Amino acid sequence: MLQRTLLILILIAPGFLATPVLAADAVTATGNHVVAGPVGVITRFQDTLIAVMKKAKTLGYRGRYAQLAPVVTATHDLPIIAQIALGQYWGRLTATQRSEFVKTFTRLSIATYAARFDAYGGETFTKPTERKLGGGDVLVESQLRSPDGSKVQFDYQLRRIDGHWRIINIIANGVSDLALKRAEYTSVIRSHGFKALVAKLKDKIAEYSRKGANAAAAS
Amino acid sequence: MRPLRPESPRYRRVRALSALLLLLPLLALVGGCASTAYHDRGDPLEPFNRKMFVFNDHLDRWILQPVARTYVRFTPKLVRASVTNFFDNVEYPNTILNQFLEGRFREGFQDTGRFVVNIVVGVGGLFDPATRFGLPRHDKDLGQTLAVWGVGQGPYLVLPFIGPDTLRNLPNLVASALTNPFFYVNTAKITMPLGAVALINKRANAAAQIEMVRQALDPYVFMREAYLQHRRFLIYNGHPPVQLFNDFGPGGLAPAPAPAKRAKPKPAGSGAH
Repeated sequence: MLQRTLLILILIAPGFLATPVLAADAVTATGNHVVAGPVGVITRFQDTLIAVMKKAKTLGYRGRYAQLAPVVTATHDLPIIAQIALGQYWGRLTATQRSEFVKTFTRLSIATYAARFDAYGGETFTKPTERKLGGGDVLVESQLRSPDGSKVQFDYQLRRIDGHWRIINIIANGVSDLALKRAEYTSVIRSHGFKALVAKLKDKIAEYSRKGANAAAAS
Repeated sequence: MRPLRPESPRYRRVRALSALLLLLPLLALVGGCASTAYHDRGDPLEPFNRKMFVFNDHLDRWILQPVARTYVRFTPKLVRASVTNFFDNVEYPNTILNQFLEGRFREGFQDTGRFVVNIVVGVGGLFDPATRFGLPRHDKDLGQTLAVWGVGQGPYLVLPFIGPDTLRNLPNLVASALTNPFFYVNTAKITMPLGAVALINKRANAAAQIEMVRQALDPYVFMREAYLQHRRFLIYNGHPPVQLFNDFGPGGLAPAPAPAKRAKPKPAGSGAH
């Protein structure tokens, strides 16, 4: 009898231990909100990218921007990314400057996706897999494969903030977007100041929008 | 054994090889004092590098870019794919050699198989059947081998005509030449045009990346960071340790801010680094 009880305990206990982990990983519905695990977040983001690429020409730049905006802001933690990208300079900004920067940075991030993903050539993402990083972060790995056989390794670093898993960095073939941004932004602030950085980011947004309008007019 | 005549091609090769062998201990010496994390030392040659960056940029805008664009316009995509395959394969002995030097014997033999399969089945390397046979392309060079052997990176360099590089990577300029079969073809009539096609084709393939660099806020910084990170990716065979960004402390290359007169420096966040 004791043996049977022990056996049952041994069989059940790992299940008990595993349950919270599984719940955190899978897509779980809490009330009206659907909270997605890291892989769920990436799948949503990549599916949106592919969908936008497939309809790129009919949507045009503005259409792509409109479709991407809600998904990019939901799947990325843009305020955190903006903060890390400014490195030590973030701490020296006023509250107004910070919110202005986050606003501009958010628009630029969406605009960059809308500008870059402007055509579809049969690309697919492989099924994402996740592994844990230090400090509670998770890395989700996936490959972008093109029909010509070339592939790009995409690693997404996600952090759980206020119960939501969100992207804080994208690493493409080892090149970390966040590290690049931080190096560039801090370099611009150091040599030209914060105002110049914001002006440059706004120029970029205007440039993407102008080029997008031209592409629409040409087709 | 024939005696070496100073002007003979064989003499040229031996000289190049000995230059390489001389460079190795020098690098080991540098490695002793150079830090692997260039961030610790910044970019000491930045003023020189920036000048070279501008020089290369002009050179590209005036010569390479227009030539590469013309090449793309008049050459069918399939032909360009074959040109890429051909030169990738010609340069492949460098990858094979460095797989073995890194002690990656399995990959070394696989890559040897890839090289042979693409020559025999792939019509001299014009096609890439090896990838479909499960022998994918790798990218190895002497710079990576030296990193694996523990040589420090040394300063970041931008070289005229060559582009981004590091001190540790310089011997690879010699190694890649010596492992290229065309180095042993001593007919300029063959090697010069082939070299030109290889260069133009490389430029054409890199068009999207070069455009991204040019669109950056600070193209010089963007190129440096992207290059160094990609090198790290190759050194770790595609799985470099992830930078966590756990602290919001100083990062990138930004030096510590000059202390303002009135503000007292705040204590650094816990666990910086």
